[in-house]
Amino acid sequence: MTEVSSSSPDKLKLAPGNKESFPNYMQVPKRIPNIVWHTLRFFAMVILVAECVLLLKNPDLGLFVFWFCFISWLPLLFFVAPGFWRNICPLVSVNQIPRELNFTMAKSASKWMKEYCYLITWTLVLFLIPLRKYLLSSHAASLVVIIGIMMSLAFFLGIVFKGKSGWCSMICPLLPFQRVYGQTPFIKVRNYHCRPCVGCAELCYDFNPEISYIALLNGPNRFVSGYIKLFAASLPGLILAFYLIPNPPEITFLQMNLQFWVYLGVSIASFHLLTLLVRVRESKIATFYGALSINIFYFLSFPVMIAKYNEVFGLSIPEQLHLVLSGIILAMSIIWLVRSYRKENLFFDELVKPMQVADIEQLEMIEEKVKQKCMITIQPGNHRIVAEPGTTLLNLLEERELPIEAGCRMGMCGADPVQIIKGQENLAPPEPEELATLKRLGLSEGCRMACCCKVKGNVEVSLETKKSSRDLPTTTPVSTSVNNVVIIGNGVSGMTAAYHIYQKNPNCRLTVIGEENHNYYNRMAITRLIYERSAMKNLSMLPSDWDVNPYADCWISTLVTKIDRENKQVITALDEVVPYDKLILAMGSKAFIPPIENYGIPGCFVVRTADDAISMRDYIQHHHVKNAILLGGSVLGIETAFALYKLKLEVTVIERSPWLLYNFIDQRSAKYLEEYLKNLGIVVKFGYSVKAALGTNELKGVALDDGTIISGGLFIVCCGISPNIELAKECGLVTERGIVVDETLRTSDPDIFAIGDNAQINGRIEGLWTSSIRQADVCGENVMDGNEKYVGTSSDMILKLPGVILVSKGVINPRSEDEFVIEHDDPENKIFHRLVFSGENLIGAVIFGSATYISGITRAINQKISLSDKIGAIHDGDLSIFV
Amino acid sequence: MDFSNFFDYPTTKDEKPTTENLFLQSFTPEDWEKFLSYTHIEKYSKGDYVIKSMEKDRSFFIVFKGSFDVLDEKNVKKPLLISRLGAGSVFGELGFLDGRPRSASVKAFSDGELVRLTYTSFESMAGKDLPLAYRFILDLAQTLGIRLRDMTRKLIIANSTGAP
Repeated sequence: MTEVSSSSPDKLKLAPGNKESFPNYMQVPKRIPNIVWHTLRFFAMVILVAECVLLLKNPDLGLFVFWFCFISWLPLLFFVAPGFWRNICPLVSVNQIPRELNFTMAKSASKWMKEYCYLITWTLVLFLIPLRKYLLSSHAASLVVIIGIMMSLAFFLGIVFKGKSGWCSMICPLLPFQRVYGQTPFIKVRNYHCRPCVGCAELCYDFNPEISYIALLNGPNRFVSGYIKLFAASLPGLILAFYLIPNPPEITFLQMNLQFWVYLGVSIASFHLLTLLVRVRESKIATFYGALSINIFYFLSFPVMIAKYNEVFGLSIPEQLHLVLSGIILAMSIIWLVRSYRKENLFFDELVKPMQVADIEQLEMIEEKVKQKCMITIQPGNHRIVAEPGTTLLNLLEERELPIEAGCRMGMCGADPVQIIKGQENLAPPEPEELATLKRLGLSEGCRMACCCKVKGNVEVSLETKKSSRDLPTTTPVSTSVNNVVIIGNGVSGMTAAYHIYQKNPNCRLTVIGEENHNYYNRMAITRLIYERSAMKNLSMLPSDWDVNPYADCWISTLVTKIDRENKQVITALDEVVPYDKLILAMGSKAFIPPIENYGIPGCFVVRTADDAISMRDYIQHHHVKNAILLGGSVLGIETAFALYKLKLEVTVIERSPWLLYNFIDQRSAKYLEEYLKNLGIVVKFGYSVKAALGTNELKGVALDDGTIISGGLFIVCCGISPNIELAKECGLVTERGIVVDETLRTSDPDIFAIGDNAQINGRIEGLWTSSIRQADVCGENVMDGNEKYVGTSSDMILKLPGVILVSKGVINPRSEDEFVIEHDDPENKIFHRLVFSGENLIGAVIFGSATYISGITRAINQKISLSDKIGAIHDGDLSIFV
Repeated sequence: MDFSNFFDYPTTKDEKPTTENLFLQSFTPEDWEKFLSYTHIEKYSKGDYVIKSMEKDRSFFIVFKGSFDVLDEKNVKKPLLISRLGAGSVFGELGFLDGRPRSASVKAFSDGELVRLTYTSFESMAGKDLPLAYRFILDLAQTLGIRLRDMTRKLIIANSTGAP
């Protein structure tokens, strides 16, 4: 890892994973022709032979030439251009003869050899250095013998082992010096002598000198890296010992050896002390010891060399020159050290190989598409996302997992307000429903409902909508006769009616009594309470300025037990009496539960209120529920199944009908939906019903009507609604399935209105969020002596799961011969459109998998647009008129 | 274990696939087109954070343009550069798979563009095109397996060298 510093952010010039940052010898350009190397190699051999002859003929001169003209300069050569030496070394030449003449046995070195060669070499060095002190420096014949032994060893090992694995890459005593000094060559010389590479050595120095040492130091075999460090740790001590311990006979052989071991011990101990105290990688300390060694070596050997040169050549080089030369070595070693450390960092960076996509060119196809796309900037966070034209902001935000709530997806519920900062003109203009919602919620200028914002250009939006005080009613109150309205029920119908009444007469006393424990919230989003952790946060639907400017007195957790029509008052379970001029019954509905034996034991749930969802989440956690059974493939049922899937539960949906959402969609789109759920692991069983819940203290499973038993720890019933009509019934209002109302939404008592899920109009209970809003609009007018008529809302259905949008509008099956169906199916992309026409008008549709035409189709249905001249094109698959 | 491609000896080259950590090798151009349809392109300016460590975000990213730094910011004053990612690099795969908070931060080193696959989008891929999602996950698992081997190796190195 590299520390980031502002001064060197460009340290990693090459992309990680790029092996060319450490080219091996085959990747280094060839600068010197082989013939030159051959010649040099030949001369090196000749020189060595001549030197041996000289040693025997004129020992003094021979020794001077060997030690002071050759050996003293080798460390510097290793330091600057180790590859040069590797190419011409006479030992290499001898070692490679068997290979070049093709009589090598080419055996591979054993594992044992590969591991212990480092120790053997170390021992050889420990043997040779004292030997030099008391013998080789002064006794030419012994030196010739040692050279001879080494040459012979190199040769014989070359016969046995393949490549350079017998000698040069294994136990040559010069190799550890080359590794330490040559770990970061100033000049990289291409290896010309391994022709071809036979892969004879692991982490081969000849193959990749820059990496070999560092790889050995940090290798996986901690013993091998230990041996490598041992040599580096020993080196300063060895050099000091060589120069500072007097040679025999000044001291005895034993004394010399003892002192030698003390130097060695101190050197190794100091290395280990540093590894314990200094917070850097040990390999860095080893490298530092290399730099230290070469400085000590030349600092101590330059004076000796100068003295010798002066003596032999009769020169008068000033002795002080050694300081200059040592200074040069110091400067070089500092550069070397910095380069080595940088290289090591780069090496470790390259070890962490980031995952790369195999075919980056494929990404280019996005580029082409980007040109036609819109840039959506989302605040806070300045997220800049490329979107396709026609996408709604809500879908984009949901896919991008930015915090946004969703509800009816028609702009009516008000769950998803956003503030448009820039590019208002690049959004589809708001429809009347959306404008009404914005007004009701008291949202400021520039706010929109994300579900209605289809993008067609660059837009900047903020998820933090600006609070502005709601428009206070400016018109003079139209009715003063009604000054006290009570609404039972704080759901969407009750609260919307309250808003309208407040608009008509701000002075009217408004009391909204809710049985639930929460203020007005987004009931359509309650399944999110099952799998999200934020509980009721974000679900509130009260206007942004509610705290300072509420338009009604809202009671929660309050149960109304009686309506006293005679005295025009309602009575709560705690005997509170609330008088009214007009009463609105917006009590909603409860979940309908078909007769199921044993239903009600712990583990049985419905999903009607926020508390239902919260307690279900609670139960799943406390009982470690792993699988769930859900009765009823309604929108709510499917959403609940998805919520349970999000909690990693195994879900089985039991549906009595032959397909999901039977009353809303056709078989084809149901098939797509079923396949989608199946892919997520949600299984649906059709044609069954649940006969009994099994278990005593907690649910163990359910029995189906055919006797099949499905085990599970959670049983949820989503079989539709049962309107709350008991209060109305008790006080004598006309009720059937719901509270019967006329088209002005009055019950049989003209001072009592009923709206929402508990109202029955023309024999129907609409039971939809959208119809509740429309009924509340009408009711609000009529409570204040208006005379509006409610005309009914078409039963639209929207199901949205990740990647799936399913919409049903109006009539989905032809009812007479005048009505006909046009279908377009795209199985590849799983997009399906079913359009139902009556003559020239579109009267209904089912859309699966694509949001492109939803708003166009909706408009055509709602506004009864004549499509007589377009039907042909639509029939041929051209839906572009709905864009 | 090996030191990656630093020592690809010519004699052993055939035995060692050098493309082993390449992701989505099996994808055809059609697969890519489908896959990309579930993703979004996002633009970043130099210095913008893509993810912050400990953040709960579950997206998977591919670098499309520019360079992005993966940073360990536990030490606020001295952030560590874990790696610098160029075009084609993949990140965020761990959080994507396990849903745990992010282990490192990613910051734009230059202006750049990313391809983001959110977990929600992945779910829609799974729902709509299960074979594609299956292959994506399988490929990711395979590549991660290789990375786990790399990491194990690094762990051994760290243990044997006392690297900080």
